[in-house]
Amino acid sequence: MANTKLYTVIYVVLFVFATAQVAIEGMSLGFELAVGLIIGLSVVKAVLVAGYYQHLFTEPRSVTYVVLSGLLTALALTFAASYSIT
Amino acid sequence: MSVLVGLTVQTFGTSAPPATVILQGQSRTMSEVFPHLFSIFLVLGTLVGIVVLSYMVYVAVRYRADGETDELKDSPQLGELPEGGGDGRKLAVSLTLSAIIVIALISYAWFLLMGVEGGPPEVSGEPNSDKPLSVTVVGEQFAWKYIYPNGNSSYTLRVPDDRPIELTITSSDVMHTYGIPKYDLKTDAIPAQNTTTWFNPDETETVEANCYELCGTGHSEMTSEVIIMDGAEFDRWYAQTTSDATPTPNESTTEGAHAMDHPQSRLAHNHVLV
Amino acid sequence: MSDDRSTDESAVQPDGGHASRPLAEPTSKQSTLRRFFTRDDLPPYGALRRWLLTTNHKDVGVLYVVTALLFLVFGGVLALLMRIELLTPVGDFLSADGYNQTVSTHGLIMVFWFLSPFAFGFANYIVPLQIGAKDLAFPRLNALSYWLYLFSGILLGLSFFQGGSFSGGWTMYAPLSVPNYMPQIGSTTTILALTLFVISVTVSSVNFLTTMHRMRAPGLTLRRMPLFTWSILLTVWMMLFAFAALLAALLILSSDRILGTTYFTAEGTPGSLLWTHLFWFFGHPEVYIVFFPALGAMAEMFQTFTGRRLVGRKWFIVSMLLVALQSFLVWMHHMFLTSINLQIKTLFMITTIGISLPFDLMVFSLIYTMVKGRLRFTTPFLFAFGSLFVFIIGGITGVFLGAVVLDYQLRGTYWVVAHFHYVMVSGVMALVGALYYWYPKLTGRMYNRRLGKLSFWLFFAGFNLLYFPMFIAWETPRRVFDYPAELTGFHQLATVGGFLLGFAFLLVIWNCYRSLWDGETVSSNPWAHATTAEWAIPSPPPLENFPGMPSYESGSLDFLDRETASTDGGTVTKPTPSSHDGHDSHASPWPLGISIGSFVLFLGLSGVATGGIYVPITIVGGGLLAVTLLGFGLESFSVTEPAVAERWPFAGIENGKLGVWIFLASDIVLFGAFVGSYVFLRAGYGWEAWKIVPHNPIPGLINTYILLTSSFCVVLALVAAQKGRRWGVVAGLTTTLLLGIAFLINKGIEWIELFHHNIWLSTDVQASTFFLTTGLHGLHVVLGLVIVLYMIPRALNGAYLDDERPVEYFGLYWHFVDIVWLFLFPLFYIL
Ligand SMILES: [Cu+2]
Ligand SMILES: [Cu+2]
Repeated sequence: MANTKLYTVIYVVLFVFATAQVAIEGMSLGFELAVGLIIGLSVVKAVLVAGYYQHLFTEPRSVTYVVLSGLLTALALTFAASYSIT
Repeated sequence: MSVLVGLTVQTFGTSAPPATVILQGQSRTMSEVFPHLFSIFLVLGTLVGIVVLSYMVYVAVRYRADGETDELKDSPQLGELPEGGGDGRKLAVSLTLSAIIVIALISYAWFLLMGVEGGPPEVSGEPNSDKPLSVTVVGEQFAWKYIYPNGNSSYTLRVPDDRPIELTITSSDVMHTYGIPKYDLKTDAIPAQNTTTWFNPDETETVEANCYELCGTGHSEMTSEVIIMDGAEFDRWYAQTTSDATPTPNESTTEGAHAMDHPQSRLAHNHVLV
Repeated sequence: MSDDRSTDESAVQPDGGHASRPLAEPTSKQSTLRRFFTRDDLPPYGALRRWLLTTNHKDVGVLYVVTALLFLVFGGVLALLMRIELLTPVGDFLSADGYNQTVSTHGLIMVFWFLSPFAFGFANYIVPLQIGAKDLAFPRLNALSYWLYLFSGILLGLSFFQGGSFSGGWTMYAPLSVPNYMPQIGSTTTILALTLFVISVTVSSVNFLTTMHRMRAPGLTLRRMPLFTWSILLTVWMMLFAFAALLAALLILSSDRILGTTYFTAEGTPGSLLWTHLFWFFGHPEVYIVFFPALGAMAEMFQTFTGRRLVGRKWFIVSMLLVALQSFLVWMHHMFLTSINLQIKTLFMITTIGISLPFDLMVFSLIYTMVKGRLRFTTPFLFAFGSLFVFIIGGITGVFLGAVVLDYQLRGTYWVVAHFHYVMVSGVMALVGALYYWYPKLTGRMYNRRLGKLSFWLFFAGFNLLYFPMFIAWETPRRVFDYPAELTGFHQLATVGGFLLGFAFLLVIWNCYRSLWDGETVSSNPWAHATTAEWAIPSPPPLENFPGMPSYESGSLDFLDRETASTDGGTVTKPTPSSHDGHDSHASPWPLGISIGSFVLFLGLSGVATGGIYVPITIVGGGLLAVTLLGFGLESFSVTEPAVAERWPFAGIENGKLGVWIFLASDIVLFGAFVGSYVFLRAGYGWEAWKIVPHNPIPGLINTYILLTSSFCVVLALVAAQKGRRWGVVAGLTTTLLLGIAFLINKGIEWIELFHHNIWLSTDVQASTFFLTTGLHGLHVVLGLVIVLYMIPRALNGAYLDDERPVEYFGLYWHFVDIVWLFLFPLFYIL
């Protein structure tokens, strides 16, 4: 499990993606495209950290479901509440 | 139980319009819809309640242990792994029945909701008196302030009896809920938000508006008068009001004997115990 | 659904996350320190010290039940004050503000400090017995939950002496709850007391979930769990997520009150709607959280006293499961009168009706269980039967409220009051039944049967006399003391019923008290036809519950000799001997200490903005908390995990790690609710019109780099620990510490810069959300650094070389904090 090389590669990728997010903001893409890209990059980074650094990819799948159910709960609140605004 | 039945009869006794009236026409006020639907729910609810509860009591009496037949065949044993007790069919049938009742009722309620949400009927004819009157209601600790289209404001609501009244409700401080029980009308007064409701006054009378959301010390006393006037009389009254007649909470611009004090002054009556 | 069963070789499990297996260096300085902090012996029952130190689940259960009953008396007295006021249709007994405080505190106490804790008293006592566990997974955390609960309640009581308690109703609607409208310190105290209570609940949820998922007797698969245990399992899952949303709401409200943020009052944003969303997102699941345990207890009593197995047991469980899931998708039915749009109203009307149908099934299932049974109307069954009876009325009247049009008019009236008391107090009735049902097990004695039956009839009569007239007088607006005079008669009836019900409660308590001495002693199973495991062991059960290892492998309960237990999977490894003689610890002073520290800290925080005496109180509280936490961490407290157990679906990971993950899941909801609040306010404000607070994203980007690097260092520390490299671990952790400090310094500079530009927490809603959300994240960083600071000296001693789990658990937390930042950064700095 002690795969230092893999961890290092992931670290570099995370670093680059964080920089890219600020760069994207600088480029004048459309607002929606920029939001999509930036949030998309955040999601990828989060999956990398959770999957490798927190070992979710190798833990029993049920642990991932616990995490996802928390996430789903938060998303339900966020989107339904925002959608309800008249 | 008999109390509930009595209540049902009493509710039916009120002027609930017959179902046919309800089913026609697009837009309906809450005072048309609510008594009608409430009595349907009450009758069905009472009926279902009586049937289920009587059955429960019947079963309790019928199968109570009498000390003679002591043991059942195949009674559960200590330490056994739990199992179900069969009878799944009966369960499914009961569930389906109750689901049908509930879903039918709720669908009907939703259909009626659409009528209320539709707002006052569109006016096609010209006569000015058919156009709805729009009044803004502002909840403030602890009174209701009414603002008319011409800018006049008052702590008493005066409305004509010959046209629909549209209310836009908001609050200048905390959350309140505005309600006129006589017209089965109620909606939240929320700071920085507008809610709307409407009603169709039909007789000249004075009724009361209440607050239904806890809003502070004066909540219990946060009432106001709603005076329903003859249409022509209202128009005469309205014509002589102006926008600068903004009242301070302690006096009312309206001249009549019903003029209402701002409720804050009434709080003094209460003993201080806690 | 496969039934996994693991033979866990590491039988000794640290409790609470950080403490690791005792080291084999008895002479080291650390061990002396640890011995100093350790109080391992459990005093006898008679001694007060036992009740202060115990971590045993049965003792804690009894403490919960007794404390909850005390709060019942408190809340009940408040209710009677209200009923006296309502004898006349005008305000003449309490002051207007006094009435509001009474209404609010009555609601808060009954919902939070009585109902759930009462149920969790039984859960504490009975669930481990029913699943065949010796104790909960983390016994010290269980004691901690209890003491936090008790002290949060005391804090609530104190609020009355700080210029008046909270007076905005148990729903605490904003902006009435902010200092503009409610300036008393006591209101802040109430909110902080509830926050402390939520912390207790979260600790308890993590504990119960770990226990119930990982410590079931062999053969006791999830679907074969007794119904009471099932109801608790689902309750705790709901609690884990629902209370996290409430915690977010309370933290935001506390911040609006203490730090001056403007979430609920800012111009141009739907602040008061934000509160209703957050509160009811918690509030509706809460209805089931308080009712499910009662339902589970009812099911147990129905089976025992009808002598029949529950009809449609499988569907009963499926129904509860559906309700638990769907409970998170109905909250806006409390907001039908607000300005939410018609589409969402329709949607929530449908989900609301949908959630009522499973209850129909459960009710029918209970009724049909009686058919062809041999019903024995003992006191517990009378209460269970009565509870079902009134629950049906509560359910039918609830359907009225689901129809939006009826809700438009019924809302804010006594119809709602009557309905939810019919439902909630039906739950109380079932739990009083549960108290009688399990009383012989808890005490070894039978209650007085005649007095028991009398108490039921008084209870039932009082209940209906109290709440039924409210349906008839439904036109009374809620929370007023000034109601239409023609309804006076009904309210007077209700008051009479209220006193009758109060008397019935006292009779129940008296019966339980007297019977401790007078009751006849009972055998292990005084109820014929009780099937669950708690009835197979003596009343009351011995300290470690079972005479051998409980197992259902043969199809029914057996107690196997622990040493020779074997499974089809091979033989069981004997528990590795620990520094103790392999026995579990049952006592610790630290849960009580931590709770006292938190209590003092929160009391200080309530008035810290006003200065004065509150500042030193805050400091003393903080210091006390730090010392007691250290004591908790250093104490050597050993708990054995069962060698063989049903662990679906978490067979692959150990208790500690599962606990951390479950906690993180609730933390996800906490942060989710903060981010959700931000998105909601921003959407209400106009997404693009919203201006980002930081002037440029570079400090944020640097902090992203710092956190990513620190995460990488923790990973390296873990790798080093696995490879047994002491200095690698120390280096990894130390770098993490330094990077964390750098993160905070960088953030500090950024904040000071903003303050210089006159941007404060209270400036506008943009600044409020920015400072509070990133501040909460910063607090998580600080907490992480405290843990690292604790770990580094231990790493120097080589503590993590043969057991790297603490490093791994800390990593899980630290990476989570990192991930949160990965989202906060774009949301608050870029977009
Ligand atoms: Cu009010
Ligand atoms: Cu609800």
